[in-house]
Amino acid sequence: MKGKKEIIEALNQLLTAELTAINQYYVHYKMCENWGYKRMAHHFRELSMGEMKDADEVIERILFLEGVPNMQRMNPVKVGETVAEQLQLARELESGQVKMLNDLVALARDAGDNGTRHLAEHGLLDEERHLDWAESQLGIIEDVGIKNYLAEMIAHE
Amino acid sequence: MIICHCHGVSDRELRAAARRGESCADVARGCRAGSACHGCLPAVREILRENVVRELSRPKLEERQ
Ligand code: FES
Ligand SMILES: [Fe+2]
Ligand SMILES: [Fe+2]
Repeated sequence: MKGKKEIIEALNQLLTAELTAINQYYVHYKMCENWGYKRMAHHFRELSMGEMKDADEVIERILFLEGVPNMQRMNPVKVGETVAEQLQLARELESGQVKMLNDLVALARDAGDNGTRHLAEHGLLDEERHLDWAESQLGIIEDVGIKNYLAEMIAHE
Repeated sequence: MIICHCHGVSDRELRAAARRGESCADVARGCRAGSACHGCLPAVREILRENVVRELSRPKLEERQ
């Protein structure tokens, strides 16, 4: 099915964000593992895999609309040097994705492309969940202090 | 945070460069951020711009009194 040009471009922009997110979470996962924060590492690994699933769906949609998925382009990957900074970057990244998906819902609705709208709405709930997680972690750090928080992030069951 | 992966340059170094009034070209010659694969350039530009704007919008001493 031939998709609208502006929808394919918006999907590609989303794809760029998903590919960036995969890498950002992945490097944070490996850094936490290296520092010995196994539980934190596990969280970031799961998030990275989740973003890969998102990218998978976006690529599928672009191909279905007979567009070319842009696997070349990526936004700058910001690498947090501490766990707290990594969580701040997660919050920044997820709030960007939430905004992007809200825009895509509106664009797809106006273009009468309800398949893309459905995909965007579905993805939106995931990203909101991720954003909520990052916000909660930063809130907990404020409450209990970074030392107590990190102590909880060492052991992975 | 690390902004330039090719040369391992942090946002702090870039902010310091911005305060010295360095441009993208200056930074490419100095700490070398953005001078290899160019992948970090949008982020480098953003930091330089942000910090210059902040510097300019700070009221001068006499205006503050
Ligand atoms: S990441 Fe900065 S030049 Fe490659
Ligand atoms: Fe995502
Ligand atoms: Fe996400």
